[in-house]
Amino acid sequence: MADITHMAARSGKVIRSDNTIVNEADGINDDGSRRVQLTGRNVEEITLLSPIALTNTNFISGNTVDLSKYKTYMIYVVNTHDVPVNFFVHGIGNGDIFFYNNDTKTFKTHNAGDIVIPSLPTGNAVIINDALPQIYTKPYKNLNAIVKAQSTPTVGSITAKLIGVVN
Amino acid sequence: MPEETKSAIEWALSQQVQTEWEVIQVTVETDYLLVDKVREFFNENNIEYSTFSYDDLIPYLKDMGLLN
Repeated sequence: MADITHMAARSGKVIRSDNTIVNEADGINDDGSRRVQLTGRNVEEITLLSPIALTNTNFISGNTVDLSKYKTYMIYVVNTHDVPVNFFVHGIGNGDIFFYNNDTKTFKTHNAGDIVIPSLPTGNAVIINDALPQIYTKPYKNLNAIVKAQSTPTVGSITAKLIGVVN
Repeated sequence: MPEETKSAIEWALSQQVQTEWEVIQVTVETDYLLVDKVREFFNENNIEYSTFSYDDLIPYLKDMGLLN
């Protein structure tokens, strides 16, 4: 039996599964360096709603963002106000978005103010993907977050950010 | 923004925040903690203010040489 300790790490030609022969020199640049291609996921964090200290119960709109460049994304909200805050998402012409409910055979908007972000201790956040599954799967080009405190906050702020995996 | 905003930012940046798990130093990067502490400064010093965001603090942070 051959003593493999005296063999090169690999010898012979490299043949692909379709029987074509690989020329390893194709992977070497003119200056002798190796041609290397990095792969991986490019993740971005963007701000939907810059941290805002609400002092009334008015509707406040955040930034409009383009989600079409993301393969998948997660939206999280931090509410350190001393009161719950209603969270809305608008898109497509800045109006309500309606989704078809196959059970009731009707269109229904999710913008009913039923996404309530509770007052959270500092350091905590809520992920709203599960509350907005329709949004999560759509490549909106103009989506924006709108918030409205349920009563006048006296401390804290609310922030909404999106972490997306770029296509 | 109130005229005391710069003082509020200076005070906020000297503060730490205790969470359930750790103590966090307030910095320019800890955006919502900075806003919360600026608000706390306004409250404790009876300074009138209206709704404001981190974006409203950016010009002050730039003037203070804390942001490019």
